[in-house]
Amino acid sequence: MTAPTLASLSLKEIKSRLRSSRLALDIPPYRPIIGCREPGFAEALQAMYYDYPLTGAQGFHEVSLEMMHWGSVWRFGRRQLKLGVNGNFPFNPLPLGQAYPMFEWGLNWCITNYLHERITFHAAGIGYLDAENRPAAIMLPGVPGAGKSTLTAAALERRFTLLSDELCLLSPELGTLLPIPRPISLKDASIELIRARQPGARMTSPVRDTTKGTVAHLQPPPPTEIDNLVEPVARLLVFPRYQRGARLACRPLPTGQAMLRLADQSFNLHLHGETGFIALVRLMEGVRTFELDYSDLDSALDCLERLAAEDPLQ
Amino acid sequence: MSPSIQPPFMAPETPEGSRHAHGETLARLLTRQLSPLAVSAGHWAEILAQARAQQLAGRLAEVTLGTAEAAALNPRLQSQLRSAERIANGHQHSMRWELNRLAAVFCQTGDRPILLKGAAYCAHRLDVARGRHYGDVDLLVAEDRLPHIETALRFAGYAPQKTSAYDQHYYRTWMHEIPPMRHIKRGASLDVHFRLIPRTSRVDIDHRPLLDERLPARDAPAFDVLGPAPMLLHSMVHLYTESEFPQGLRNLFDIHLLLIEFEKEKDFINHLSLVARQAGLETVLRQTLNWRQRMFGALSAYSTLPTHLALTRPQRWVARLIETGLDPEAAQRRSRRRQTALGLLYLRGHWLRMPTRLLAGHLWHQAKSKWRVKET
Repeated sequence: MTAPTLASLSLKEIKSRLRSSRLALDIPPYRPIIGCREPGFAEALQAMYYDYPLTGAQGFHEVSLEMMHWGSVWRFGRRQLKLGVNGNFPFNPLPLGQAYPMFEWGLNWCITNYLHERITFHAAGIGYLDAENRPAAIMLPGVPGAGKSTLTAAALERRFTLLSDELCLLSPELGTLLPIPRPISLKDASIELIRARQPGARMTSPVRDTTKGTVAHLQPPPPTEIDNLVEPVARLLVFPRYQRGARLACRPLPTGQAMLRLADQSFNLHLHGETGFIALVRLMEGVRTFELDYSDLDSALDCLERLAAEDPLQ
Repeated sequence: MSPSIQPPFMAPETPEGSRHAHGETLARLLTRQLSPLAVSAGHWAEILAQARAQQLAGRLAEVTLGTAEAAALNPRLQSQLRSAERIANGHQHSMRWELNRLAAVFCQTGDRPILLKGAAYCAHRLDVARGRHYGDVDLLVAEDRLPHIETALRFAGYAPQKTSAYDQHYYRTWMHEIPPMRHIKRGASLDVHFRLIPRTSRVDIDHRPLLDERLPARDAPAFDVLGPAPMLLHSMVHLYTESEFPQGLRNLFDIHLLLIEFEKEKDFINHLSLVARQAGLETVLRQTLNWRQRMFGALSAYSTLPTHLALTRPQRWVARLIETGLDPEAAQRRSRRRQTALGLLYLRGHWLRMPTRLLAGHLWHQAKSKWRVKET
């Protein structure tokens, strides 16, 4: 990988580029241009995307994200932040100090709104190598609060790689998932939990009082081969459910039920018509499906590792 | 969507007296006056954003991807355009399904509503429907059938929105529709009109010539659509009396595309002028054609139309307001000049639609309700 990374810029240079909206990074699946003058944002960005390649500020940037001040005309009003996506403002403003989470949510929004060549699911994805060293993946769909982000963050301690903590992107033609490694968003109690487990890992300072509670982001592992991401095939579909004090329970789920539940978590299946349905069916034919209730992270991870190892040879 | 026969890129015409708006790149791409390869990569990102804001991304994708040049475009751009095309296809699909469900309702009541605007373009398989995004379904029914139809729609799952006493009064008495309805499961929005334009409007028109030419919709036989000239004039009156222009460029582009499609019929231009005269819409026709010309350039077929007659000074002033207000690039830059233009057009739109004594009260009511919600 010959492209310089964000690490090659000093913090001062990063801030300067952010001020004039000239900082462009290669963050799969996009190459966003970023602009922000909020104090603290540059530090957070540097910590999270240290190893990500820079790209030139010229060229086609399908996504440009600007965290701007809002309300400056009304000096007596509360100043807030607004997220500009390519010059449009699709969101309500947020309080100052939430620039970094706003950036991450904005990037997710750009994926679910603008990327329709793949079928997007609200699911975490972790990768592994099967017995024959082929890239495989576990999809972890879930409603918010199911604990999939925490599970994903902890899974990286084992031999799993990060596809995404939030979005699985299925190719209708190839049946593979596109890895979109990015900082993992942790909420409330998970922040301390993961910090205790991974004391060496970098995290942004927790941001309180967001619409999702207290939020912090965990630095992802350095993305290798970002030009040439290997796309695994999903072999396991596990619906996690965190419940405090629950005993570990891993139950096989009937395929039909699993398919409907997964379809429920899709953002754009309706745009893919018959092709999308067939792609979903083919996906289901290749995965084993489970429900996983857990309260202890390590037991849950042991279970996932076991499932991955048990994978019958095809 | 199968690609249609693509005309070669035309040399841009600069009609005398027309100023090119800043947003001309998007307009010229849409009308194939500019090759997609002539736009720099950085500029393309802005264009795409402008198109998205105007609900024109689907059309832009459709125009761009069908050409031989498309293969040479930046692969990421192609990918974005394909996704935009997919979104537009989704809209088409939803609209067709909604019309299918509505047909069932009206079969029961025994009415044949006239589809208006986007719903009509889709149901009649017009060129303007390709790549189009849809919002509401608009249809026109006879005023005396209204209670019956409203009941039938409620039974079919459409719930009335905006149920405050003021809104009910505003819509029913002073506008030309019942307050919008929304399907509780599908989320589709429905506007049931009972006049083509508001009762109190200062643009005093005779409806009969417009309703004379109705014909069955090609793809939705349970419904009618307006004839070509009335359909075009209706779209023009709407734009002319509009007070807010969230998709102003798109609406003007619709008019442009309708003109191109309908003028293929022999003698359409003369017929359009005739109907306009009969309905009392000549000045609307003349001005909207002028606006269209400013944004999208003139095409020679229309030289016989009264567009080249001099506009009066106030009309020229309004044309400049429209040009600024509808300019997608000014929208992207959030220019204050545009905000001012839009503010003036807002007042003008309301003034056109309501008599003065009502106007002040209505604007005050709007201002009060908007005060709390500080929007973009």
